[in-house]
Amino acid sequence: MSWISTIIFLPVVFLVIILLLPSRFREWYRYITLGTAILQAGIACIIYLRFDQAGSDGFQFLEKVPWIHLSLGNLGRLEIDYFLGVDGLSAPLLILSAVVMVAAAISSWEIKENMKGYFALFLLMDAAIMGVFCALDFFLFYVFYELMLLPLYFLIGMWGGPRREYAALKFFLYTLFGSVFMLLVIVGLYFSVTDPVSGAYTFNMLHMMDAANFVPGAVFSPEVVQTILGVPARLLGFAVIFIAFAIKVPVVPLHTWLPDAHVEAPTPISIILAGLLLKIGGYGILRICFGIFPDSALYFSWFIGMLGVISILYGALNALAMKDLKKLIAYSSVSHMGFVLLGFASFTTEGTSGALLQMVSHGILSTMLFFLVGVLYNRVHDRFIPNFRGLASHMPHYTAFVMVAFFASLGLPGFSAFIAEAFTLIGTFNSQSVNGLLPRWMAIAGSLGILLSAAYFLWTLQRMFFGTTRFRGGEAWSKQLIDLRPHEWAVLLPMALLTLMLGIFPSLFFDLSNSALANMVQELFETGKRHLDSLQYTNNLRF
Amino acid sequence: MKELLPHIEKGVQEVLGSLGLFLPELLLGGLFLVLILNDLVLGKRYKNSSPLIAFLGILLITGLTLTQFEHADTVFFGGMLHLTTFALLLKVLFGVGMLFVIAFSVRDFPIRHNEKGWGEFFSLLAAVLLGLNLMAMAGNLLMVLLSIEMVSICSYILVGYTTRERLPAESAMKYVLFGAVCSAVMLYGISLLYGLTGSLQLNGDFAARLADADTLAVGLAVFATLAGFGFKLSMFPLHFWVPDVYEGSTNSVLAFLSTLPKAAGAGILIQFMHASYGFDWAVWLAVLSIITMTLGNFQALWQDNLKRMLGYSSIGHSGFLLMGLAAFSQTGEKAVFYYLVIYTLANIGAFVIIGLLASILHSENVNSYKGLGFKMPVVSVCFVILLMSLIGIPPAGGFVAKFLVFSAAYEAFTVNGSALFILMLIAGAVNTVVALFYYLKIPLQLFLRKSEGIVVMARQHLLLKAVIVTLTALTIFLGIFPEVVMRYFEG
Repeated sequence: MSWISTIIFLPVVFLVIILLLPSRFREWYRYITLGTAILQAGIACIIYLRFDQAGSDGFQFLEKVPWIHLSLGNLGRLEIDYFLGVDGLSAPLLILSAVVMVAAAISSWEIKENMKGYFALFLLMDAAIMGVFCALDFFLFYVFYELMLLPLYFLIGMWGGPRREYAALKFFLYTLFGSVFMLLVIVGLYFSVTDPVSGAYTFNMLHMMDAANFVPGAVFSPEVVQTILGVPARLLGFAVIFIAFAIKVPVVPLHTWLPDAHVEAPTPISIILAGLLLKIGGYGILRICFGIFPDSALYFSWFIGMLGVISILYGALNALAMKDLKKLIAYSSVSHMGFVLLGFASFTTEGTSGALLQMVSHGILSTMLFFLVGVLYNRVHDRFIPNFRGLASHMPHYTAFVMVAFFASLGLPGFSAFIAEAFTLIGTFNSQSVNGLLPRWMAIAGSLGILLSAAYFLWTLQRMFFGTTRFRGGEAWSKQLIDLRPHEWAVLLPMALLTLMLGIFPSLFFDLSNSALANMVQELFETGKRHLDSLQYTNNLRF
Repeated sequence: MKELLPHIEKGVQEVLGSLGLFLPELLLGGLFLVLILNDLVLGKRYKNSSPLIAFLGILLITGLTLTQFEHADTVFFGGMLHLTTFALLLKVLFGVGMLFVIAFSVRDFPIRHNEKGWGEFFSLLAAVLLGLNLMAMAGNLLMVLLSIEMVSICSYILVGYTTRERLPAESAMKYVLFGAVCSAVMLYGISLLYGLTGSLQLNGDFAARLADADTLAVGLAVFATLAGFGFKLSMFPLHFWVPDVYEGSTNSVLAFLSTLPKAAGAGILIQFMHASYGFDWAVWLAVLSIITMTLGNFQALWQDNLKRMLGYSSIGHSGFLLMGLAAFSQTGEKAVFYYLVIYTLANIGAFVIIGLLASILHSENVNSYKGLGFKMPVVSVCFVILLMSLIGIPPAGGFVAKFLVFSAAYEAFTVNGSALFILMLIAGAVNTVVALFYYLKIPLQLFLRKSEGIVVMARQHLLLKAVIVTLTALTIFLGIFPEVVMRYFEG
């Protein structure tokens, strides 16, 4: 039994079942979806338990089936494989995906219209997201990556808020803009890399990561500087793929789709956008950009770190100014994802581990935060901060979870985000002395971001939850604003426990990823350094 | 006189020997006659006999074509026709495409309820298929002219078949005028080529003599000849007829017009390129490709009429085809063929849907589709998938097609190192995003907007739905297993 294929294609099977069930069984759709998500979470547990933690840096649960093999005449053969596997980098994210999917499936109870369409699209997107994290063939990765777009377009556009059309289109255009150019680089890469065994051109990402497999003289070969339109090809290739994923992360200034999409999307889709889609960006940057172009990553590391710092501060300052609670959380996502970029750019094991944990932790916390906003919005159809006051005495359980989520997000010790941000900042701080890539002030600027996040979260807490109870909607709202229902507990309690657990026993996570990441960072830095020295780019971007 | 006898004998022998290879075309000619006779005899009493005979006949002939693969790469009728693998594949594509067009025409309102009857319509489809097959195989400049004219004249009549209204008459007239001028220019080019080489055969000798001739004269002659192909391909600057002719034509005619002649144009251009390889095709086609795709896609942005939108978008697709052709390699040809297959399937599908919706809504404006996705879910979902294929989003076949074309262009770049190819690739990427922008108008109206008025649902169109679902399924299937098509190129 191949677990990875099962976790990817299980939703597709149930999707077909949903499509075939007549709509008088429409109440079943949500149970089928929830069941799928729970089954996936079960498989994720199996993967977690069976994952060889002590072991090698290699990939596990590998599956490889030849898919498209075409002869290209005198140029040899084209090889595309159905090639899946996980390592210490993708396994935590795969498990996170399964967990967030369960939360999103429960929160989909609020969907009342066109349920067949909604749940079919939901499951399609579910399959695509799982696939992205497991694909080890670049072509397959791209197929899953693009396959996510269309379901999301409809999920935002059909079940979203008032400005949903604009938000959905903007999201689609931004992502496609990045990914179409990425396709060009993929084509170039595939003409540069051959399979060491069969000698055919290949999309195998593992082969792409090994400099020995590059065809001498090919455009992306790390041996000699090749140029495209006067720009060194490897730098250009890195930049193009980086921009594609930076749009997803999102990195300021490519973030403007995010506040629209997250705010307009219905709660479950906001959860998936913030909890998983942003992680795909981070995963892509580390796995693909850094993995295939380590030299360019080193070359641009100062710049990437700077973008991280800008995202942290800009996102936090924006969040401070927001009156819409959902928008505030959306901007806080921008700020928190900035740490991921900063950690990656530091090229230290601490920084990278911290960044990966930050992704997992943010996945859990943003699920909680968006779900909490959804709870409020579903009751009174309003989420403007000034319209609420003194919720703490009115909805005490709700407030308790809000406080957990807020304090965890602002980096209170004991919660996952604290460990993540601390490790990221340690890595950044050490970078100057270990490898000289990032200056120390970037770590200081990053910690300023934590301070700002404390400011906006605590200020929101004070404005909305403390003081005498007063609502804009008066008596009517007081009646509607009842405390948490059982299914809401079912989402919030496990998430709160999870963030607490990761905060107290971070080894649950570090054991999974550490050996792989430590090897990876070391190797990336060394090969990158070697190529960078041999390539000798004329002007250096480090300031 | 006596000494000529062996030659005559030899000639007769060759003609007789070639007849076996020409069997599908002979049968198509026979089918054309049978359809005309049938219209006179049975057509009045059994209305559906014409399409039925046409469908079965073309099905049979396409099956027959499939058996010809063992004879690939033969030259017959004294060099008039070249049966290359590419030509054979195109012939199969024409046959299959035509089957879908016939199935669509049976339920296309303006054709079915034409006061002239519809027997001639189907006989014309058989005739135009014959012309297309000849175009794919043409190995002599006279055959090039003859086959292009045959396809053109049949197309003029098809476009003007429903001339009771003003718009079809106008667009047929425009089409005829534009086509006639293009043919005349092409004829002029051919005469220049004959003058330069002293031969009409498109073979190695022709290419060698062309290489010796003066470059300026060759350039003039080649560009003039290109007019005829460019007209069929709707390539810049010969694309002006497209939106107007599309707007005025019936959907079933359009399903044919937007796909098969374009494929034939690409096929004939490849034949011609092989016989004039000395000419700097790569650069010129790259330039034309960039201009064609950019013009087509950007102009499509402003269209609300779906036929015009798809018209402009088909110009954009021609640009992508030219990208594959500009690569001028085996990879390029394979990519172009796969692109043509996927484009043909998706475009025919799109026009079937537009035709089906037009029969219900009496409108071809995208704004009339508000909220239709909830009333006709199957058709609407198929429409979205076909559009995704046209944009090039996986897992629909359009993605693999676009990917193969990009690969071919990139490979050409690694061979000749011309920055123009990188510009062409960038233009291709930008155009894909632009295409997303206007194609998405349709799903937007279908699913994101709520319907305003009440739509009276006509009776079920089972046949059309079956055609739509089949085309969509094929698009996805070929997207996941492109080898089904591509394996014909192996070995």
